[in-house]
Amino acid sequence: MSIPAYKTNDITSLIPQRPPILMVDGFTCENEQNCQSTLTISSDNMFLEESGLLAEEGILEHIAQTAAAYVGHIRKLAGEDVNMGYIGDIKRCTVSGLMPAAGDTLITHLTIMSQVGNITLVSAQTAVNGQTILTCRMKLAN
Amino acid sequence: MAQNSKLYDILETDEHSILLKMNENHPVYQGHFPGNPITPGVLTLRMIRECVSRDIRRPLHYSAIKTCRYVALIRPGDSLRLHRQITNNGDSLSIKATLSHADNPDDIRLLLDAEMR
Repeated sequence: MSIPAYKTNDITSLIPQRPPILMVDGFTCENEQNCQSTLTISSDNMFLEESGLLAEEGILEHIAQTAAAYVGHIRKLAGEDVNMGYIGDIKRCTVSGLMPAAGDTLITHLTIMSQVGNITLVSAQTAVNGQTILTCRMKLAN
Repeated sequence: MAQNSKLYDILETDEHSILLKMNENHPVYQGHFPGNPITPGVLTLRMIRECVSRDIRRPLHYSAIKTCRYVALIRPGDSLRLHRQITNNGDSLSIKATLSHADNPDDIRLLLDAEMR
């Protein structure tokens, strides 16, 4: 399968998640194997902790929604509706460095490792200000 | 907003397990998903981190998640039992956790092998 490059800020057209847990604000699909997403953290983000820093679970949700946006994009290209997805597992996750705060922008690179039926396996790397803060593998079912 | 409303209540706690109940009125369920409320998997991870932080009496964060398997969905109102095994490695804690239905240990919802600091 070969797909054209695609870019949108209209995330709700690709995923079913809605506020207060919408964790992607820009999505680019470079090709069938590589995507990129962004999130600029607002001061009312539900994953901000008392310390003022974003919880690591917020970054994992951002990655899950990036993968969901990829799945939604592929489904729309095939003329199908966007559907709900769930995390099946998280593996090989490492967290390091200073967590971001309100105003910072997450940039995530996603590599699609496999997509068989409704199971999608991705490898993700999230950076803030050029520093990688979280990497993981994630399996999604939709 | 979300910060003012608890995702879960702790009903009981001892060295073996923690009994929890998911709060069906939490605002996250309005967005995850509209008309079909399901507890976001990442919030289950945060719940376990908060429980272990209570055990250890200081705020902890994940430094690594070796495996986190979501076995079955968690819905608002569910009663759950968390079994956790905490090993202190000096500069980090190894956490092995199982989340299951409160009354049925065979109804496993999540299996976790992680490290916290």
